[in-house]
Amino acid sequence: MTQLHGLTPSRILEVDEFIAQLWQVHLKVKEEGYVQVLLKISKQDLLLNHSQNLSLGLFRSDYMVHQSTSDDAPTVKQVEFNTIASSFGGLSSQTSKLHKSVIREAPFQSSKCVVDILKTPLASRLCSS
Amino acid sequence: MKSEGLDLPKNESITSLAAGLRVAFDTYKSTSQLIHECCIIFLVQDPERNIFDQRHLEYALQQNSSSTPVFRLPFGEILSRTSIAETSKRQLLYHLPSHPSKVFEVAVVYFRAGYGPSDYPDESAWKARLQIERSNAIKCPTILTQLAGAKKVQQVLATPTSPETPSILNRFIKDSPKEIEELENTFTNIYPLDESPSGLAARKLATNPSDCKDYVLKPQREGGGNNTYRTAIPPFLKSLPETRWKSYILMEIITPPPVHNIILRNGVLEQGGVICELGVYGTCLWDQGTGKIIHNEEAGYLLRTKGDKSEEGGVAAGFGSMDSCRLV
Repeated sequence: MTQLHGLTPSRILEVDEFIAQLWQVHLKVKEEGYVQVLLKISKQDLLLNHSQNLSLGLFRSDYMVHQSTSDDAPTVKQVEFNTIASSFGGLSSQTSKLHKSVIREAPFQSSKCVVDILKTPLASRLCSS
Repeated sequence: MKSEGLDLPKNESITSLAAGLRVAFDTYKSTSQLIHECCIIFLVQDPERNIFDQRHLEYALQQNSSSTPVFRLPFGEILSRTSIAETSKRQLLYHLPSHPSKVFEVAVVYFRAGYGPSDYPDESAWKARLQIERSNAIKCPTILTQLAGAKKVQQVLATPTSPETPSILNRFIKDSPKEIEELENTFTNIYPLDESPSGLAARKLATNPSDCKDYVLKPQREGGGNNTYRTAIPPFLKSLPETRWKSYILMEIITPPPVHNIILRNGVLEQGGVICELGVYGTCLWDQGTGKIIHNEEAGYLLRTKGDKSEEGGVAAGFGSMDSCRLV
């Protein structure tokens, strides 16, 4: 990941003002860390003044099935990789529970019955949230 | 349709994502000299429409023998409710609004805001972001990790390669051409729209009324609703000065095999062709200094289904619906 960051800063910066502003924040943090390391003398201080090196990611990688023609074997293709605010993890477990519950409890005598269960307000809200 | 014929896999995204946050919290506590009781901050928007998603993670963090203090902090209130300790460590301190003398040391900042320009309406918002970034709190994500998610980075990784320009993946995966090939097979062709040779070739595709039908044009933005599709691309590009073109990437459209299903939205059932998108969650805690990975786990899935006529898939943007995978 750190190597990736060094990949193409200039190429990314020239494309988007928002991205460039984020990069400026990074440069400020880097500069501050750097100055401290220069000023400190003892090894202990050096260790203490290292800026936070631990980094956490809650990621979500999105995929779709791709098939150019009906003769081709289907493959999995990445749509995008989310590195910030990857959402719906809190709701997707609940959606799975809802669907399992529908399968367990619905008599399955008619599709209308399933539809009626799904149409209850809570289920409806979950499905369309 | 028979119930026993339906095999829905387990989906433990809530507990798995919360576990990632807790590992970071525990690691912070065990590796720092603490000056206050520790907490996790959920940095959110105001108003926040995703609160019902976020709350499940908060509750999971509190359902533990050692309950983790979690506070929700609107992005716009960072500067009034947090401060940096005047120590060489720069701990991030959180001041309880109801109890200003009670101070927590922030171990983890979980960003559910700050990903788009609208979260930064003025200079103070940038000052607030800097305050978090320069602090000792573990960021989820750091600003560098956020930047790694830019479409431009995805494009650089996925632009078709040739013998003269080998894949940039060689820099990250050493001596394993098979792994690189398998990874590349999951990429769809993505091109820059800059003045590089592949960018110029992509400009031809994007402005050609026939070729453009296989592509989607994407800006450097998270969060759906910003893309331009197929034949809308040439007129859209024409409306932009050419100097702005390079801020977009051109991506070959993924064409899923036809699937028929029913979608329930706002109490209305719609039946027809649908398209599914599978999101796989993962949590990772690593040391940027040494490259050591402390925690790296798969964390559940999200399946979104939308009608095959709607191009944008964002559930929150009002096009898709949440779904479950059925194993066959």
